[in-house]
Amino acid sequence: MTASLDRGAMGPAADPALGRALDRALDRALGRAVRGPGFSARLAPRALLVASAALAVLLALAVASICFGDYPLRFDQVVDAIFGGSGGQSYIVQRFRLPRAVGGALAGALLGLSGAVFQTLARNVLASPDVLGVETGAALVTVILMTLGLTGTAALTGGAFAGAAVVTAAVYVLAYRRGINGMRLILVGIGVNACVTGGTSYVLMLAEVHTAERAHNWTLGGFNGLGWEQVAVLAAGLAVTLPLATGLAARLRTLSLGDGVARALGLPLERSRLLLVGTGVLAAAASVAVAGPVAFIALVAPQIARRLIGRPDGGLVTSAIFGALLAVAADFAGRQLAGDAEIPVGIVTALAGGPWLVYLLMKRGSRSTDG
Amino acid sequence: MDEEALGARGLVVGYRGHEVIDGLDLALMRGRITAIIGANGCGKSTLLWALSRLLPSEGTVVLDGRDTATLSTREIARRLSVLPQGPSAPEGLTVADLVARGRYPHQKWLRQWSEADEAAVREALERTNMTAFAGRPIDELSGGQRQKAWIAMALAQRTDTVLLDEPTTYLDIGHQAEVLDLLVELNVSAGRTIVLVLHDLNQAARYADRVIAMERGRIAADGTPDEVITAETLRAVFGVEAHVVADPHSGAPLVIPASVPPAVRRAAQPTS
Repeated sequence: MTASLDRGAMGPAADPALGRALDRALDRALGRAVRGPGFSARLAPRALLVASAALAVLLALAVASICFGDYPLRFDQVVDAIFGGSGGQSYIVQRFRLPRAVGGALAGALLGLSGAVFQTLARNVLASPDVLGVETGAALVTVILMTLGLTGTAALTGGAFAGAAVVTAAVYVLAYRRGINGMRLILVGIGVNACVTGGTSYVLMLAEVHTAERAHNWTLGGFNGLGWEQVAVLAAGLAVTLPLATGLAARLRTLSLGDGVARALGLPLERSRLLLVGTGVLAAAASVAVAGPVAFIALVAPQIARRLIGRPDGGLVTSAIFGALLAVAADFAGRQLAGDAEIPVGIVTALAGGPWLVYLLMKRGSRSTDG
Repeated sequence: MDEEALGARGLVVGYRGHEVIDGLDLALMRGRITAIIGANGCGKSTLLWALSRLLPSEGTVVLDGRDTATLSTREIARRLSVLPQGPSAPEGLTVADLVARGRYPHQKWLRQWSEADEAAVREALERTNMTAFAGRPIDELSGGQRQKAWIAMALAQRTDTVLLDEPTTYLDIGHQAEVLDLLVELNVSAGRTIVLVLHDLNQAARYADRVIAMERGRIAADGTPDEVITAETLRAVFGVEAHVVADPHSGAPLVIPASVPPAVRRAAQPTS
């Protein structure tokens, strides 16, 4: 006796009005179906709209940040310089301002992506790489390497990844108690973050004065002095992690339903989690290795993306775009607000993002223990 | 013409020397509703999880006539769905989005949303009467609607066999009946094989074709509700004294615990 499961999808009694309401609800909740031979996907118009708008704002901000500076440039001069102009103004754009804007955007995009992966995985908006100590772990190893005189790009990037991975593993192991509870993960992360930050300060204290000052400036997080070589590292980081994360998005969505349900749906749990955490760690480490630990972008960017898209997860690409937008905006603000002196981007994001973290913690704390 | 949908041969679950289930044999027939009952900690949920291969176990689990050790987790998920107890969705997730995720075992990297996916989601929403709630966030729904949304997700998997771990616990009486009626409807009209762990003996008696009573990891009684829900079995399995009468509505056995009402007790109290 085999049951017929493929009996018509809908009974003839289906109410047409209800059917149309369902169409609309499915379109809104899932996006529109796009299908071709051997290929099908869902495209959410709202997510596309949000992403394109954010991209446009990002572009405008980047151009503005190239125009303004000690030597103000006009829009047409900037455009001319970008498309291969020569002369003093073009030199300023090509050598300094353009790599700074592009590098800043890429560093922010990596952080936004990392934040989206971590937050969705832990099902908690606070579980982002800056709160959990992933960024400071990368910073600690980078500072140690700097004080040892190892300043090669490969060494710093590799060291940053190792530091981020070790701290992530430590937080995970310390927070593991027959599974991972979101709030315990965050509290352990905050503690580990504090320890690692203390360790970084200690290394800076021991270092020779000149090296220490350079390393210290780097730990403030900044895009000043980014050149094309650093941009290439960031671009490579994004070129690896963004397709990886997007390819793992279906697994990420499934994992966010909880371990039991995810396994029931046939997901290889531990392997998927390891791949996703690895991607998130790699993205954060690539950013930190070049631009230093810029706090709060990873925390805030995915939340803005989620809120505007209106879905609790996904939005990996949109989170990356908002990360880039926040980074360029904070860098721009840091240069404009303080007159002659320049405030490093990491300080701007900390000053602006700190209150946001306090607000989130208070909002969470007032609710039950739900992780 | 009875055919086994899901079965276990020599199933062992647990640590060495700490076996929760030690050598259990079972055959669950296609198109039937089976309820597993038993006291807390008797291993009934463990059995359900081991049958669905979510818990590592020794011995053999047979699904649709094939040893599950030869099937990938994805293939198992296309044949058998299992709903754990008290699942929780990410904040703000809509019903339609949740139900669509039940299609995961059927999707491929380039085939993320086929017509079959969409049809399965629609059917699951309609069968559970959740169409009108498709666009609503799950955390805004009542407990019963939430449970139906999760059942819809499991249905979107389009599996012949559906396992549920205490689907009615924490629901009020109206929603309990609604969820169980829905499962019966699925069984009758779509021929799904349903296995569920239940706490409520009267629900097991009324809704299941077959009741399996477990005690310390073993099957203590197995048969029709009339055969299993008896005063003797209840004494042996749950350690309770109870009367079992015929439910005047359905004729199914109805359990009435033999505790003494307070008024009778007070009357029996010696007055000082």
